[in-house]
Amino acid sequence: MTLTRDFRRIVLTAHVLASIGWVGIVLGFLAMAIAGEVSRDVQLVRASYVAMDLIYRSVVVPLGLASLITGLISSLGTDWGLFRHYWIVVKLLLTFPAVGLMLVHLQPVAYAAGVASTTLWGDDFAGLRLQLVAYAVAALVVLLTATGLSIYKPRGRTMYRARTIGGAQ
Amino acid sequence: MHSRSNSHLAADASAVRAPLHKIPRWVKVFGVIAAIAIAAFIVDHLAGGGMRHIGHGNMVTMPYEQDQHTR
Repeated sequence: MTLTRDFRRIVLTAHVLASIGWVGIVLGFLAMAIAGEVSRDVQLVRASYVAMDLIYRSVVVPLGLASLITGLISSLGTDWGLFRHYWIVVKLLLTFPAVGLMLVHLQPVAYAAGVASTTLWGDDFAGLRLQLVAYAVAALVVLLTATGLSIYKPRGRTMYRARTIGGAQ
Repeated sequence: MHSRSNSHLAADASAVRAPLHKIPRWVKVFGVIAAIAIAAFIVDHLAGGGMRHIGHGNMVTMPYEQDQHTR
């Protein structure tokens, strides 16, 4: 399946926008997670976790899914393929778990927002606050690595690619 | 000029000798880092980290969701 030039450009534009938007919103999420962790202002802490839950569900998750879907279409619909180059395989191996963990963490983020907005929090909540900072940092590292791979496109063709070249000759 | 073309020939010859599917060094480095990260994640979860804060069926309804339900 090969995409037409126009459709390929539309999908690539959507992929770049979704991916860069995803990085940006994770940075914002990290800023709020750090504010929630270190601030002594109770109002700020409460507001941070409520906002984190809202942007997580309304922006982070949709952008993550959009980035994954447009990336899959973009690679499958062009000569790049999905398993022909190591940098694409590595990107896929980074993005799939990142999206999975992002969906799994819908509940902890909602829980943190609920606790912060309704009750006084204890030691258990302190652990969750630190965990949210750690996961945001990990997500940022993964997304920046994937962005770097897309830009530099390090060399290396997979065994699958070598086999298809051999078959063609 | 001559030596340059010789070096090109040498590079071509090594490319022919090298297997096409040889795994690049950067992929191996990535694999090691990923293995360490996955191991750290598993150890964290087994050691009682992870999502220990969340009890089953412990979902909290947010204030703005409560507003939506009451409308």
